[in-house]
Amino acid sequence: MEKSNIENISRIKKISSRLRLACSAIFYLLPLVIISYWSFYNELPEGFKSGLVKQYLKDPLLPVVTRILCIAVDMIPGAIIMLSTRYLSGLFSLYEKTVFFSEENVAYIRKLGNIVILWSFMDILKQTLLILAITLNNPPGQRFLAIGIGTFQLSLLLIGYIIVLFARVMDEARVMNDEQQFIV
Amino acid sequence: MTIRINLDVMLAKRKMKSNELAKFIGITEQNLSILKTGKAKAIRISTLEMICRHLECQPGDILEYSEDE
Repeated sequence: MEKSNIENISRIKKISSRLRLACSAIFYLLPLVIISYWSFYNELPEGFKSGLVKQYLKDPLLPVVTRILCIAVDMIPGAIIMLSTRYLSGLFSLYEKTVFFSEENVAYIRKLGNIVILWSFMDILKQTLLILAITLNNPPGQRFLAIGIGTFQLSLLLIGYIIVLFARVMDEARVMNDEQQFIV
Repeated sequence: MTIRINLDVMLAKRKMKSNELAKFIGITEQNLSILKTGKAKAIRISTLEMICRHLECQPGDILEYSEDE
């Protein structure tokens, strides 16, 4: 193996190791951040508060029940992000072992693509449920249920499809790699 | 497989061991084993050239087309 190749592999292993640790950290920190955010929502500085709350509520202070509902709703995409960090951790763990073109790699990338597509739909659901949750304490006639699609959700959808395509390309690379093992 | 690899026969004729040949041509014994057992999907011209040079034979002595499966 050439020196530059060895250096490149070593760099991949090092970066993958750091990214795997970052993904693990996100996995454990994300629920804590979501819970803390909504638990201390009323004490947060103005700049950190949700735009939706400002838009739909005159009183910016959220009661406990609403905040609990917001945590539950926010955990829908939160759980998806956590799952995607699991897949990324698995993928980076394979890269650390210098496994680049195995069926496992392809499976992780495909799962990641699918989960990002799911994330875009779940984010739409989250927005809808969040608006309902924060306006639930409003008097009848002032509760809202709104569905909206923004550039964020569309971007997620596009990125998800690109990742799924990437998984298919990687699968072709895996087949070529397998064949390469039998070229003498 | 319709292409038969007669590397074993040539090695026996030249009284050479597999590991010696692998060393001469610069491939691993594992790769030479893949070639000998007919599991190889392709053989590089450079590998064939080295085998022919060290076994003093022609590519046709190593590779043989056969109608049999």
